[in-house]
Amino acid sequence: MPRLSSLEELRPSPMLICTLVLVSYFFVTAGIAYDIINEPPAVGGQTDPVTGAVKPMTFMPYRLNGQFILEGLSGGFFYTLGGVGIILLDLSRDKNQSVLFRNVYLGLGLAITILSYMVCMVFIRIKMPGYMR
Amino acid sequence: MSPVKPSSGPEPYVSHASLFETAKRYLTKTKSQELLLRSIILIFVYLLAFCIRLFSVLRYESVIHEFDPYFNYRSTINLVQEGFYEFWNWFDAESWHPLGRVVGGTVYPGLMFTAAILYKVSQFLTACIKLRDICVFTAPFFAGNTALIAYLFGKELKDTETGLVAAALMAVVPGYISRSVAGSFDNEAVAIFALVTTFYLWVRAVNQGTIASAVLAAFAYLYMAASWGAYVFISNLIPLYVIIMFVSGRYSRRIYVAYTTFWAVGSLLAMQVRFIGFNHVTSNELLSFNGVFVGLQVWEALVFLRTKLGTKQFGQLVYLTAVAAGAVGAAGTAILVLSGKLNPWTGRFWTLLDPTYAKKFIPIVASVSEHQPTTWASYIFDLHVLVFAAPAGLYFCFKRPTDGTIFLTVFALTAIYFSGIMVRLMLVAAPAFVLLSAIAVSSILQSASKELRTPAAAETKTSPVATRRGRTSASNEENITTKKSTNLMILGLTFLALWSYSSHSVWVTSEAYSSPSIVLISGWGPHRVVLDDFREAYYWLRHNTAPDAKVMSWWDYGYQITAMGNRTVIVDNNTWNNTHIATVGRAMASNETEAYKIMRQLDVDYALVIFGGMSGYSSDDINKFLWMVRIGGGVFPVIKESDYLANGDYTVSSRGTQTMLNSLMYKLSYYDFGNIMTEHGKGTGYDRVRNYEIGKKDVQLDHLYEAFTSEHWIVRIYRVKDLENRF
Repeated sequence: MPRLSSLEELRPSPMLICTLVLVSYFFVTAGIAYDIINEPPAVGGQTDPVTGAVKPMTFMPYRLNGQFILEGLSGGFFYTLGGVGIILLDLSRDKNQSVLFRNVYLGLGLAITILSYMVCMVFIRIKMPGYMR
Repeated sequence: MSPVKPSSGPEPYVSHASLFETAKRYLTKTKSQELLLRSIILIFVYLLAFCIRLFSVLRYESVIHEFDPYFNYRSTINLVQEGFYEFWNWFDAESWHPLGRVVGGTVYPGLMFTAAILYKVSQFLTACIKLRDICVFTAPFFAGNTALIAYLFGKELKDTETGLVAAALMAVVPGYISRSVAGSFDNEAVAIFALVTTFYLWVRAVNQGTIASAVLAAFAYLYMAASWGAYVFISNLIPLYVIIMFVSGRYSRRIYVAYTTFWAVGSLLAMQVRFIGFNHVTSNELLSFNGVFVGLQVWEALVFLRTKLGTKQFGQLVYLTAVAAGAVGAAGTAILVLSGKLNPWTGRFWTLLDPTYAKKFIPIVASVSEHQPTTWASYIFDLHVLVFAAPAGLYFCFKRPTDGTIFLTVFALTAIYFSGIMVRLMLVAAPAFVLLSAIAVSSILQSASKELRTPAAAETKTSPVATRRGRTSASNEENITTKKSTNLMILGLTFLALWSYSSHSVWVTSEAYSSPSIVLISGWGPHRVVLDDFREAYYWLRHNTAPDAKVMSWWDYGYQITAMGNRTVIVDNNTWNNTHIATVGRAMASNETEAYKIMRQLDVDYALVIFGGMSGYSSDDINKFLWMVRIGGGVFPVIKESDYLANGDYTVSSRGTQTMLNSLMYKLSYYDFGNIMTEHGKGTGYDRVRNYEIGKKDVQLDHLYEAFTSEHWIVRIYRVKDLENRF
């Protein structure tokens, strides 16, 4: 039936779907539902007790169930980046690529994965000072 | 029967090897080594899953936590003592006075049956474990079972290595531990086991395409439908998967057999649960479940007809049938919806599709702290390195899609989306994250160890490649991906990541998820402070009040009062009747005279409030008061939220409004508190939770008198006075 074959051509490639999935993963883990419902400010403010000036406060402290918008976006970004790093590590195993690309993927993948993990650990320590104590 | 004689000699062969030599012979075979290693790993995973959940039992005692588990415990006692038929038809007159509650028809009985069966089995084996201990340890027992099912699921999805990684990750994932510690005798304890089992058996049924495997999956679905309201997740996910397989061109006869059998047997079995009943075929929530069944039959009928008729005749038939079916379907759905026969979606599930729905329309659903949306930090707190490995797992699923991995992808994407909307659903997303990460971790480990095991082959490959291409640059660039050091480093990093994951899980379980919320423990060693006020107050109620006394409190504490205090309550955690809860909320928010009228109407003898100002316990009724106002105001417009806010600020200090300071809740919480000095350097009546002094310090009660206040003033009970004599 001719209509079915055009359906085949309409189907997007799996890797395009994977990219869309990763983008949606970024938004969901950044806490976009929390942002829409509770509408927190982009960054909080901390009033300096002596001078009265307002210092921007990026992480809502001591509470796991509250966040500012930028804080959520940066957390979600590093989660997705860590995933991309592991994907790059796997891309470096492809035997049909040139050696240069494989080396670059490996180095970049390792660097990105380790970086994301370290940054997320720093973030969670800023947010929850009692972490791992 | 004479032994078969071998051709080599007249005597049958008898080995004279010693035990040690036999063992050595078996142990040097790779297959037995692998079996031994796998068994040891799985045994350790089970023990780990069980033991990591025992922190609160070891630190304090074997006691049931939280609020909902107390109702489940009471139901299990009823089931064990009265028997199956009494439980199935139980009408509970001790809650929701004067309405009562049809427990038999409004409860998911799976958990109670499981605990009762475990109790009966242990009695039969003369192990004689108390029912309360059985209930406390049901959750860790089933957590170990979930880890083993995760092993089978991983094996079905990819291979044995993935299964082992999945089992190990599932044993300690904090998102699952949070609802399955020892003492958390709640539906999720067995429901997550049922969920993963149903998914595993479904993927197995799709892979095998036999009726027997689909019937097995339907029985797992029965267990899930009997245990938790989230069975609709399964009933919507599996049709969604069938639709996606159809659209992506992977539809096969196996899916048809699996789904048809699953629908038929699963629906019939799920309808046996009284709470579900005919909802399973009439409710909107299961529309896709039934609709996809009809659609599949239509498609297979069309395929059958096409093989029998010619192309032209078939084309005409298809056109006619499509038009007729479309018209009939649209008209039928319209009639059913308009005549009200199709039940609409319940509010809790609407929230999942439109997150702002509950905030606008159903304050009760919006007020539960577990229904709040998730922040970014919950992900890393509940899942740690799995948040990094999950997107990589999704990539692996897309790279080499099989029927099973497509199902895992659909499950993971819906679960991750829902976990973003409600914190509580992080529990459902945790198995998805575990399985995806298992695929990713197992792939990394397999590719790295494969490179390590074939160093000679790689070296002989590079020289012919260089001469064939004729480029000298190929020999200048070293392929660092095949070098031993790189792969050892990758293995080492994976080891470190999993080590940090497990140490994080143990810390999180120990610090955050092991509090028996019925007892408040703080401090360590000689400075340990235990606040046992709740049980003190409930047992006071049990021993010092009339057996038919009715207690009015906010709905959070209803289950605990009925279970431990053994007294009738007005509203409890089931929250099935919003008007009744609004009546209680109105009573708490009105002034004392109005509240007295409502309390006389409801037959209330005692009023119970939770107060944290003296001890610093922050989940007290004053902090929940605005929700009482909102819920009461939702039904009785005489209660307006703006009356209780001073310039938009919720405060009980001297700036508070008169309505707030005269409300029953304020009076019951702060009665006699104005004479107490709680902190050095602050005045009397300093509230340690709100961190300011209260507004009205001398509280007079006309229609109630104080009956009991617990040691740290956390629970305060007041007796409602009788009507005055007229003469």
